[in-house]
Amino acid sequence: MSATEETEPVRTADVEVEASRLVRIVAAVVLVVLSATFLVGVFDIRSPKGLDPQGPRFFPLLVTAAWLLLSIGYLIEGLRSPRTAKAPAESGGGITGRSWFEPVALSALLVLYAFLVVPLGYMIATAGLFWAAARVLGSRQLVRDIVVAVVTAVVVYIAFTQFLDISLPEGVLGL
Amino acid sequence: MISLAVFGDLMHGFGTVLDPMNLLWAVLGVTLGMLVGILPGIGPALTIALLLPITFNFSDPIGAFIMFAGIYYGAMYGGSTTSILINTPGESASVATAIEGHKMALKGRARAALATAAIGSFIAGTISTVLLTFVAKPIGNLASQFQATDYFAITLLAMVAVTALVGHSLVRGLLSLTVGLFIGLIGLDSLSGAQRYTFGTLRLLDGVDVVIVIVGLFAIGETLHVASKLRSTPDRPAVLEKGRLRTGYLNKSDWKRSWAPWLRGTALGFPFGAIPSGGAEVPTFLSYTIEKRRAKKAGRKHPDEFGDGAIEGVAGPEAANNASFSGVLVPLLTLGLPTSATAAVMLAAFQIFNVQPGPQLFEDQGTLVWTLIASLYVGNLILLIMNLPLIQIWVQVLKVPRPLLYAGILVFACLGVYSLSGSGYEVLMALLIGVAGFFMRKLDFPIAPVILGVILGPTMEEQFRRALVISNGDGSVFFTRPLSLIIIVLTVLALFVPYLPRLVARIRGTQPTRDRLTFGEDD
Repeated sequence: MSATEETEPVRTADVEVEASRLVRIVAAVVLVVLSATFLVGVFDIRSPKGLDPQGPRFFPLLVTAAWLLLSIGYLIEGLRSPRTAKAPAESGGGITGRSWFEPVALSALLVLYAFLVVPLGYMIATAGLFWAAARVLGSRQLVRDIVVAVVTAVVVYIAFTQFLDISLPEGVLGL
Repeated sequence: MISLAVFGDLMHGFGTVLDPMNLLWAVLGVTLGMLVGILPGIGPALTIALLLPITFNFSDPIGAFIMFAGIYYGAMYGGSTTSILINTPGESASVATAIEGHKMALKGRARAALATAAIGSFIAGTISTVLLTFVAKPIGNLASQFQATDYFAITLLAMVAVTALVGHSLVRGLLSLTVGLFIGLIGLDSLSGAQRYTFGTLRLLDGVDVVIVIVGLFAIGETLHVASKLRSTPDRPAVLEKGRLRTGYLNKSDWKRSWAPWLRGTALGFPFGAIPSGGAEVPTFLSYTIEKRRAKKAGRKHPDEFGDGAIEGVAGPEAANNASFSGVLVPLLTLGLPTSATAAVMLAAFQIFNVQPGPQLFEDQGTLVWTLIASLYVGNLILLIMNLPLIQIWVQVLKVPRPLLYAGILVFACLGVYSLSGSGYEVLMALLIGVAGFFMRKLDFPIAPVILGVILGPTMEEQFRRALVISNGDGSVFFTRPLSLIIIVLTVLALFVPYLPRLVARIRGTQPTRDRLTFGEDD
């Protein structure tokens, strides 16, 4: 996106779709399957009045039906798009190869955090999350990261438990 | 007939804001908002979402809302500082500023760009807050005559208009909206008590908390997205050297060139904020286009500077940006209707405190509303004071390394969702939504419609069903009541707005520049 384009002002929307045709089609299929499942799920909703507009089923029916139709539209759009996707390599790297590593690693860290925050305690789990996330994101300054991670975790813990009365797990430190 | 009572109410509001403790919240809010908002890539919606947990335990909503107003103003202003100094707008409303402001900075005029943005924001914010002061209550009174069908129609209008205007594909925008509406369906149906899409788990009976959706989509989704691109983007954007910043504020010619764009920007920002159009994007881009055209047409001394650091291109959009916020508050306070992603986050904050914006708000929560409005005047002033002399300090914030920045965002995102319920389950839910947000970014789906769907969906359904109950199931009520009909017609028209430029071009017989008129999102 060139900032000094001659014609109209640059719109933020002029960012290329970063995903390939295949990823788009897969996403469309996932959307179709999800919406179809939920559309069928409308009938799991207990309603004495069937599909009466005043009952609890009507609105979900509208929403999931619209979702299904739009997903099919999106799928058709994807299938009709040119096979040679605009090379996203130089701008964002697309969803290819090693660019998967960081998001997947961060997600794994968050899952780990969700399970460990109570047993380990807020401070240890959070300091660990901070340090590991910074490392995944490319930081290589071990000492600085550990210092920042510990300070952040301790300050947040004290501020929230002491001043805001939000309870955070103590964990193994047992303060 | 309105003025005297309004002055009394407003003075009362000032009385509350100027209480030392409340003033402290205002300063704290502006500082925090500025601090987080200035970080590259973080817009006001994310700033407020990240800072929400801080206010969870405020016993008094007034203090919380004073702080919110400060956070919002601070975040918005922080965004323009980032745009000017390192050309990474965290929100699309700052893109216009980034174009001209960064060029000015490169030419050693960063101080002037920052000053015209700060003073313009102050002037626009103050004028539009005055407008808000006088417009809000009459509109609230008008809105109190709204019936269920009108409410249904207007929530529909807000969702569709924002969806049509942000993002660049109507199909993808509407898909985002339906997904948001679906998330809003999860849980117990408020009218019949039926379980909907709870998949047999007790966890989902209360539905999905909107804070989880916001933090998941904005904070976690954004972090995952940034993480996936780390290899191909430079580690840290270059920060301008200090020396350049010490070249004084606005000179005489700068003032002369800035004042009219400030006022024009204000005039655009306030009304566009008030109508459902996604908040600040449309008026900022309009303001930029108008200033550019005027410079060309009038054959002024500086026409060639556009695209190369024209001060008008910073002054106008920045004023429009700030004015639109007070505009956004009009439907938010009087109708309970958020017209941008950030307003939706604000509404979530209101709901956390069990405050229901709408026609009754001015009656039920008079002190709260007028204090909030008074705090906007105060917040504006604090921002001006903090920015002109202290800019050097803020520049330091820009130097936070990216890995630490995003690690910090993750930590605060987890804190926000964890403190909602005190269980790791919420963190997992936010991660799930964050992964969806990651793919939405990759596939260029707009985020704002999801948030609007989650927040407005339940309201819309409730009004829809209430209207039908009143009419004994007769669906024609939506078309027989004139006000509802007008709003529904407007909703249909909103779907065609993006295609206007192409139509106009075809009528004129010229080549259209782009297929659709589109704007970014994230407010």
